[in-house]
Amino acid sequence: MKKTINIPYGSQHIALLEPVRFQFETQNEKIVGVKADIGYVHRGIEKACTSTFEYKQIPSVVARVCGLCAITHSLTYVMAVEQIIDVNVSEKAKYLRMLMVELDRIHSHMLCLSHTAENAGYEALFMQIMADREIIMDIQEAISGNRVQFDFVCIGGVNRDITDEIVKFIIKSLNELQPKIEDIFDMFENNWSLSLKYKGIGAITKENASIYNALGPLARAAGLETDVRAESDYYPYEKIGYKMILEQTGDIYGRNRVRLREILSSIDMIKNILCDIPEGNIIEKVKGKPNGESVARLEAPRGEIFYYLKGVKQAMLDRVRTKTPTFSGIPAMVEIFKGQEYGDVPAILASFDPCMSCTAK
Amino acid sequence: MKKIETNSENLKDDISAFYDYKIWHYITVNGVDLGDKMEIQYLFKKYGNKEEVVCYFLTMDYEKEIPSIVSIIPSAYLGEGEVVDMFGVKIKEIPKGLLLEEDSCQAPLRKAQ
Repeated sequence: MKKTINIPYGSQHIALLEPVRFQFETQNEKIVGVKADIGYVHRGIEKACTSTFEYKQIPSVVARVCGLCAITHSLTYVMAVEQIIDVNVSEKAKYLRMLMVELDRIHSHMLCLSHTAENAGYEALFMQIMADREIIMDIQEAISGNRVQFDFVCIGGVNRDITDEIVKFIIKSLNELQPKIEDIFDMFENNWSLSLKYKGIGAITKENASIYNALGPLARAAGLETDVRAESDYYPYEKIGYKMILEQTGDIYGRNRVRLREILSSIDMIKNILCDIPEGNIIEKVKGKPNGESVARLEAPRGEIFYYLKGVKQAMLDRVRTKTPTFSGIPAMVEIFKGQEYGDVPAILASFDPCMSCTAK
Repeated sequence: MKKIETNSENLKDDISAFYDYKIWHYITVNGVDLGDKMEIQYLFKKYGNKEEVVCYFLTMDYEKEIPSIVSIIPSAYLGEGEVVDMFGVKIKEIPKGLLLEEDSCQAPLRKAQ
């Protein structure tokens, strides 16, 4: 029997700035077993949503589940409430919501790509991507007034309208960003050193992605056709040119390609949204109090966000359940690590784009 | 959401007969405190399909132990572990401590707390 060594990775680690701990069991450099400990900073947001805040206040509360996908959390919650309350959301508000969700996807994917580059030793590429990401942060600030915690979505619509000047600014900024993304894509695609760190590393098969319920880019990089945008009629994604991005390799390289292609796809979709924003109100009056059960799903940058609500005709909800993509992705991550070289852990982990803020909601 | 009732005796058989990992995306396990008993929900969505979410659910007394579905859906240990910690229910072979420490407030989402 070969000797095994247990190596703790986190909860404080130079290559893992998230409160999660992996316990790797290794034989020489090969990982033969993994345990994940995610219970470090549980914040009790579900409890707060049913004991402290009224249902109209909760969009701002659940936005604090995660700084990166704040808009998708508040929007998924709002979509669930709107099913059990008397309100019809205008098409204009739906378009503005889609606009913010796709902007969120771009900046989140760019953050992940920058970290992946950093973990392959490319500090300069990390800084270049982060600098280019500022273009999206500026657009988000122009639309919502905030760079991170937008509080843009509310029950019945959105809180701010978009002006012609902002539309022109967004199109100008996206035209500036697009060639920069193509340059980054070229670097990820053709740089020989990066390919050594990414190709064939941290791979998962389509079958295992399905067995372990992988989500988002992790699943789509393995060829698993799952994307909430294609599984719901709530938002007119087909009208704005949505196409599911799939790769087949299932490795870090494939995940990077999915994210880069999704960024370019989101840029196209945003331009289409801006061309087609319908006339109408941005917010509708909300009547009554939520009654009954509802569920809502939305495709966040990391995969499916799911909310379950139960209302009993009170201002305070009876139950709010949040399911985040990183939480669901842990079993697939653990499976991917098995058989990998320990030295590849930082790059593999960065390619998962884990968000422990979401997980410890 | 399409709800289908089951019970602790038939849970594993029902999920096993229903669930095919190539067709169904397992979303999560959810707990709802009904005031005098618990409702445990198992939520699924068909891949690449716009049909509604399917929810298998059972109701149970607080102190009763129910079986785990990990042998059918390996990734369900997280959702079940969360329900165990947050509501203090008992699920066979699912230990406490996934999210909460021993000295944390126990079963914080239980209404009687």
